[in-house]
Amino acid sequence: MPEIIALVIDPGPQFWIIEMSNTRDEVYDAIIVGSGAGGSMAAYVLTHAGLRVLLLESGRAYDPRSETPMFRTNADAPLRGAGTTDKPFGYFDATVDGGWSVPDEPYTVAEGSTFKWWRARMLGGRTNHWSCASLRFGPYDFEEFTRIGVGVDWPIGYEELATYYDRVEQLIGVFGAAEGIENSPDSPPGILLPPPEPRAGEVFAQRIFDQRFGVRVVPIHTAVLTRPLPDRAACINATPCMWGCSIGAKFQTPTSLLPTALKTTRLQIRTGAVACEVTLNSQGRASGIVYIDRKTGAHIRVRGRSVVLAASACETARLLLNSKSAMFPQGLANSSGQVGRNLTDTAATSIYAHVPALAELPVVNEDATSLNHVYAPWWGFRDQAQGRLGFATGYHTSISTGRRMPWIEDAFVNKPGEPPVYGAALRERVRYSYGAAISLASRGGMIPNDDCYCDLDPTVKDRWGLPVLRFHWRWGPHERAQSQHANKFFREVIDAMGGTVLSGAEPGEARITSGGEMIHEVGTTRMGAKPGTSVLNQHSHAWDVRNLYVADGGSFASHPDKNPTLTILALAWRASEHLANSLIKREL
Amino acid sequence: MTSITRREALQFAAAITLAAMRPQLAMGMPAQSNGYGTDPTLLTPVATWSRILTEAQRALFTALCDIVLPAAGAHPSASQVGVVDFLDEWVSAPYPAMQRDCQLLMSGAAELDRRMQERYATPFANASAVQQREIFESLFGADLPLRNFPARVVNLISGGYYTTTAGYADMGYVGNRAMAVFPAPTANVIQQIDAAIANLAKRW
Repeated sequence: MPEIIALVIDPGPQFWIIEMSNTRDEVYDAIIVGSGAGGSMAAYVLTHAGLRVLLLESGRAYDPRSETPMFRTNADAPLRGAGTTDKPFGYFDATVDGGWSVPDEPYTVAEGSTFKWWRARMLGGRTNHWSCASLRFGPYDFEEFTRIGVGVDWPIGYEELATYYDRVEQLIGVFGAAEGIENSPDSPPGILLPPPEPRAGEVFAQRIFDQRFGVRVVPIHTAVLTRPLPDRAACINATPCMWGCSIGAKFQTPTSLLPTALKTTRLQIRTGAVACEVTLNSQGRASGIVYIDRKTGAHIRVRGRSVVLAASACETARLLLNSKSAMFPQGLANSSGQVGRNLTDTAATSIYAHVPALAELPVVNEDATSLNHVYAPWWGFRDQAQGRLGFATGYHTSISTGRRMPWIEDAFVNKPGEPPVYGAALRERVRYSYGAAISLASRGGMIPNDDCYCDLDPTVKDRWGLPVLRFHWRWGPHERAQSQHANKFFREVIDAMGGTVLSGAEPGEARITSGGEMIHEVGTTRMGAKPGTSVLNQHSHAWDVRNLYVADGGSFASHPDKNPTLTILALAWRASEHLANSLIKREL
Repeated sequence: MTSITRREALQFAAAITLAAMRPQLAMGMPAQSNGYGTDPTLLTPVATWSRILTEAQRALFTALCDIVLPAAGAHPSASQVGVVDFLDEWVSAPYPAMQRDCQLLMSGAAELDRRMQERYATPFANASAVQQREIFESLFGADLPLRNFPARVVNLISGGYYTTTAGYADMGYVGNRAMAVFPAPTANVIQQIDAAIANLAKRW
């Protein structure tokens, strides 16, 4: 920690500001808030452009190289690794001080809404436990309003982002193949790493989808190395990715973008730094950040020629809404009233089934990357164009099967309240159930609607007295119809496989995940072509504050079925390049 | 596997005190704050709470473990691979889900003993395997609050067992070993898949 040398009162905010000896005179070219995908990409691009950057991370330092429980099993963990309120995704999950709740940092959910907000308080943020699906948005995804009359168009098209997708895929390492799928663009030759072979059960699913339904199942694109990169090893086909990766095969920012950016010597990282206000100068430009030192509670001001917010879509919206001033009484960069609005998440539904043909496949090591190797991209464009589906957004199908490391729940083969099988019959049941298991899950797009947003709770504060977010949520008719469709389709697939559905709602009652449950929340500071209806312009800087950029999922103007992280990285690269050029040309 | 370390002996002593406090927890007291926290060390995992089962309860669950999963050929019984310790850790944990299981398992265990005493005048742990199965099955289809006990206790024993190396060997998990390259399914496996699909296709 830098030495504290002075204590002054800032006339604006209601708290003490402490000036730091080594920052008092330092004005960084950029201050970045958040070390997840977007913030780390911004740090990488800006430092490589020769700029001096301070990155603030609210959680603790975290090093996957020394902290990942490689080759452990759930038997090594308390409670066999089962999820608890302390570690909802299990003991070994690479989430520090986070989950659906964070100690002393609450959020609220409005009456009648359901919403869950996953956070992590660690260097690298949620890239540490993410499951690495890296699908490009397609041309249709940038022009939903023009194409199908719902949502809004982006101010940019696929062509403007394509080159950034190329660069991101090469830099972070993404495996996959060019398959010529409608609205799922191929990468140019030589960009993607070779995809791993499919598991036997994935081949089975691939052939059923194709032969019975004419639906293609192809290699998924995933940010795991199947070839080594400098300072990062190739995947060794063991240990769940969700626990992190000590060898750097899985893309996590603390083993990829951040060490590379640090090597430039132009990046400083401060952990335990909870950003609480974006400060302004007299011209209404961002002048820096006030953060709270998590250990001491001190409020510390740091100065920058620009500010990049990448705290996650919702945390960034909260920071803006909490940065009120005479110039921005409704929150910073919120003259449109759109900060916190247009909140979307992936709409998902799933079924779990047993398929006898899978249980008969030979017992081999199928850990592989620990992730799914294939998926079914959305295939219903023609039916949608002919108005036969009743929903405007598509879904891709996640197919999970194979003999991967068992979780305790894999052996819960008896239903509550029913007479259990036990003894020799139990052994038989577990063997069958483990081998026969398959789950099909939809990952569906969402149309922004007026009922889904976050604002500041009028009364609840966090441990530092800062207002917390209140979530409002209701799935719209498109997502509900889409989930019904997925549920019906998945039942037909399992039937064609000769299987039995064990869980997943009855037909007509498809359960959609809660808002936020897929941890794909985006849209809260969306970009647009006009300042009245959007927060950011096409370069991801605020219409209202020219040197204030957003590099997380907040900037998304639509929410297709593809997982958001790859697009967050591509947009962060593009935004950071624009910022770097503006700084170098002294336009800011 | 079954030898008791000094640490476990101390935990056991602490558990006797804790067990006396248990009814308070059962009345809906908030979860104790002695969980492993939101940032536990992942390389040297440790359960931070004391275990609460008495010797008599451990004996009962040992017996139950071994009628639920007795040794079979090369596969050891559930009690031989530490499932009783796992159950003890589970019912002692300060988390809400585990506390609910604690209620259920304690009530279920007491009822097994009561019924065994009533019918055969012996504790459940000391009865023959035939008698134990009979009394255990007498709880199948019981009314609330014990309706979920048989399936839940079997699931927990099964979950404790099939997350061990012995359980992996039985169920057919052979991973957690580094492989430079994940191999494609063999030609024989592809043939098997095609034959299975050809068979299924007759019904389409």
